[in-house]
Amino acid sequence: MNATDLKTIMQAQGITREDLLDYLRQMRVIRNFEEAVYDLLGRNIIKGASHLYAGQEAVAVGAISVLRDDDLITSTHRGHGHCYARGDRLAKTPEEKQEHLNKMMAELCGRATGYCRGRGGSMHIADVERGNLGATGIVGGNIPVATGAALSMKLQKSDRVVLCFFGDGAANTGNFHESLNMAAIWKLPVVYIVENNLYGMSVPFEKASSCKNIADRGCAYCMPGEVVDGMDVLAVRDAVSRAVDRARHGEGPTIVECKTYRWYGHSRSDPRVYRTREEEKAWKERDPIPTLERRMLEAGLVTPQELDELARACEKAVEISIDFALNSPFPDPSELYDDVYVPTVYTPSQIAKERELRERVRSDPNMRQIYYWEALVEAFREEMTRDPRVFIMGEDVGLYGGAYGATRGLYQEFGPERVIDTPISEAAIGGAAVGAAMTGMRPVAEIMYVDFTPLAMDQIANQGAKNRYMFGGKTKVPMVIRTEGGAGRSIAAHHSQSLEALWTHFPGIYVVMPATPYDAKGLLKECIRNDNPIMFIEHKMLYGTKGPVPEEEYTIPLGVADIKRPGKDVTIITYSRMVLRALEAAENLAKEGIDVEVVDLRCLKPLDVDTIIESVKKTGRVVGVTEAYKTGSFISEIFTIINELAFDYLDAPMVRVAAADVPVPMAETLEDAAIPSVERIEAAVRQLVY
Amino acid sequence: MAKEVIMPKMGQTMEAGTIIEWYVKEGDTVKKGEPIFKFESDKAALEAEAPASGTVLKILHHPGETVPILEVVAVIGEPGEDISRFLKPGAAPEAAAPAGAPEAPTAVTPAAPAAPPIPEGRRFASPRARMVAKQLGVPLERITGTGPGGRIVERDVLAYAQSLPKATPAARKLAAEMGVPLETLAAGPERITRAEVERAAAPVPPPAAPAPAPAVQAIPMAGVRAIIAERMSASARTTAAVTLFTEVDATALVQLRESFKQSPLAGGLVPGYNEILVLIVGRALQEHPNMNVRLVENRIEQLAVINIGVAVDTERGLLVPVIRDVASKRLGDIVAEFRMLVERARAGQSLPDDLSGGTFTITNLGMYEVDGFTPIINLPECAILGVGRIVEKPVALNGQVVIRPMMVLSLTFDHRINDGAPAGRFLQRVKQLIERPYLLLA
Repeated sequence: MNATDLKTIMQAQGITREDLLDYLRQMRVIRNFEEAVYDLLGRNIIKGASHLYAGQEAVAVGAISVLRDDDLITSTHRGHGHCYARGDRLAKTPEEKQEHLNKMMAELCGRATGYCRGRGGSMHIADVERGNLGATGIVGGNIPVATGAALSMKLQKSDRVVLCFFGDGAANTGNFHESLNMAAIWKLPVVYIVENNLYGMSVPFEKASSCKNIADRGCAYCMPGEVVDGMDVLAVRDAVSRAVDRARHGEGPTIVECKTYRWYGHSRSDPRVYRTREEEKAWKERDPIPTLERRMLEAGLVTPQELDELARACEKAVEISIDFALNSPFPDPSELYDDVYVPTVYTPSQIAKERELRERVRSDPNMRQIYYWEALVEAFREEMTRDPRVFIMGEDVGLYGGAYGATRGLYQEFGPERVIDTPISEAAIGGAAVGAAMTGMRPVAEIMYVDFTPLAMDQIANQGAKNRYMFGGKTKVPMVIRTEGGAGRSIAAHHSQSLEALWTHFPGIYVVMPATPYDAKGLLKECIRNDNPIMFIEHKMLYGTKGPVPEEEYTIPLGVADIKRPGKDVTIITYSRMVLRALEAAENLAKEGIDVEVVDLRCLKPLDVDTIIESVKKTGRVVGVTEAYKTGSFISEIFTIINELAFDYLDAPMVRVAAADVPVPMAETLEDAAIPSVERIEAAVRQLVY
Repeated sequence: MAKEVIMPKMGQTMEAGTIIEWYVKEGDTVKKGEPIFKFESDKAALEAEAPASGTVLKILHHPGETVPILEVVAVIGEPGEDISRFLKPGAAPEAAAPAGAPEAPTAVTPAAPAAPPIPEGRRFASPRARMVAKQLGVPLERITGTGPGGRIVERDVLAYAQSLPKATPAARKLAAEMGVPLETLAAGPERITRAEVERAAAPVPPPAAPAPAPAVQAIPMAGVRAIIAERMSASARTTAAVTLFTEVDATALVQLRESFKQSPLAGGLVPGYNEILVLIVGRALQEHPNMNVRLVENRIEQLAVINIGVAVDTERGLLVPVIRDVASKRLGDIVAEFRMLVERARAGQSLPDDLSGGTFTITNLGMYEVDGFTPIINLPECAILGVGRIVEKPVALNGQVVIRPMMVLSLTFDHRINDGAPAGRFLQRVKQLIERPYLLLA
């Protein structure tokens, strides 16, 4: 390569000397930043883990140089380069550029002035407001999110493009395959950039794949793939530029594999026994920074003095960022709970209004009766008409109308762009919902059975539920994951569970479980309007139940329990289908003179603690009923709350009626024995009335 | 649903109640809370209230019958309701002991430590019951639980509170603190006030003064004082106490003590009068086992060991350390044991067993120049010996007036358990042993 070549390339790519100096500056700052971080880690000033980007600078700088200011990126655990290059491009003045660097360093040092207010640190740095959808500590964790962001762009008829960075290790995760397939089917505007630094932590790529090139895997999805020299900023830039161009023009995704090398080990504690010093030396001879400098010198575009000045300026910028970070305050522990959720606040009159409505619904014998599934369809229809950002995605939600009919007719009514049939790719469905929600859409994704939701757990719980908090409250993820659970159809252990406790365990996501058509409609509408990720769990045996639902428009505030039956002797706390069984048990017990109060939680999160405690204070006796496995069920959590807040009001030990701790069996006799029956609920109540 | 009427437990020592009168008969309609029968506990005559409204379907126990607590005595419900489950055979209590002279004890209870009547083990109460009891100022110790395993539940607290005479909350709280059973206060039409509880807790003032004397200091009835108050009043209320007096020639006793002064026991111990008297009384009790008994429910239990308590005045008030198994001990053992017990009692470091389990008590007021007095029996024992001062008196002996050191003994016994003649014989034997200590060698 000679000077003429560089000028030819510049001409071909339409870049100037100033652009080249900019790339050089960005690469130098990243390098200096990583060297400083290495040092600060060694001095225990930066805590935790940081995965350093040194050596790979040409990839981030080259790829991001292609983007428009309104485009998007997703990053990885080895993401300081992405974050820096993206933020630096958007910062227009030297002061803004320094401020960007300061915020990065402060975040790594866990300071309140950091990008994420010290909550994310190295592995979870983000600047969502400016198109950086964030890094992730999960290898491959952001590939579905980037795909969802691209879906969002497409649905918004925008020509914005998403760059999705990940490493060679991530290319072997299910997320990679599910996402590339999904993006290819729908021709999404996303460019997958694989930074193949040859090792997934310590395992060489050749031991982790039989393919020589990851880009070759594009053919599995009929997607173009290209391999480039990741040590050459202009080569990266060239390839990514073509891929972005395709994406922007509706031609779909591309996979660009950048062969590169990391100077440091996987993390600071890595002794790098898996690679030879000769190999390291050979790659370092191809260091992207001196390489570009040499080319510019040879082309007469820069003087050695200019390069020296640039190098000093870059070092200075990093020093300033360290000073800024170390002089910044740590986050105040009083802010611990900030930003887990987008606050959901209801006025007392909203709550009172819904209470009056439900009392009217219960007492009006002339109110129309509709099925639970119809209530859901109505909720969708109203919300999709009201808000064009709302769309449905999932397996068989289109023409089929959903496995249990909850989207029946909507495909015909709203078309394939708003009712999207997906491949059977739960993780990508979940992650795509996260990405779409973070970028302006309001997805409602269906996972056909709650039993399948663990397949999407990383995406929903690690990305969807946590992003807002990890990213310092600077994003929101307004998505609904609809699913259904429960036993009753003899379909055994993979289609009959009640796994809500898995979902209540994670901070950052709400869990809603309606028992009646009225609750299902009003709560689904409210969930679609809410700005938080929500797990909306229906029950397969409820779709065919009928109940009164008013014709008029209404929503139900989240976190408001419903006393389905008032009573004074014993409180039954339950939710979902078990509400119906509890009510039946209560009627039977009334004949024995036992007056049971049935509290339907409706929402497990947010939880209506007040109603629970008031009822306990009234009766002093509590039975908790759940269809979930007894061990670790949400009822146990409720009991703990009662213990904490109303211990003195208990007149008897609390009693659980829960599913047996066995995989839900198929045979009816066994299934019936495993799941709480009306008789078991009655027996539990009698046990307390002495 | 038919509701059972039970013999309620009123107070911690109540084991059974005797029905005195039914205010209702089978077929009558009653209202919840209305008094339906009168009964007598170990302490007082009380009324039981209907636990529910309805018709009296069955009365299972009749006036005169003694019914264990919690036993069903009647059933209230709707006419025609099936009440067979209340009529199970075996549900009826054992027939009450026939009136008249108590039967001779059939068995000797094995070394029973005559523990004070505090229920053993932890009392379980639901958190709600505890909270309500606190709010109402009702002591949980007085409540019988009807929940599983006898757990006290809210209902029991409410029922107990309802069974008490009406009282102001302040009065209840004070009563609970001072250990004054509210049920022992007269229930008038007005609510019991704090002042009445205070009066009940304080010693009864002499009635002479037309206007109540102003108090200089008010000491709360608590701790040892409260326990003494309760024990003494329970004894005075329930025993049929008779006191016998006899005058003893203490010449030999004084000589005996002087001899020990000259040549002390092992370890240099010189026995005091009380310690010598413990030995003597122990011997007399061995010979008169009918005085070493206690009354439990309707049985007189003759005790296998002789444990003698000696009343001791301490800063904290009256305490009674108990010397165990006196019959098996030599005088030196008695002296050593008693002094250790007293030391612990005075230091406030008594072990639980130091002050309990007595079968007989000696109380000596001689140092205050008291001659004779009427001691109160320390329940559940059946007698107590009061010892007066030793004082020289002119005495007629063999037709001549001589000066002799004399001492009055005052034996209070429970006439429910023993009669005057056996008690007299016992006292006479004590007198003989004091006057002629050589008989101890016999």
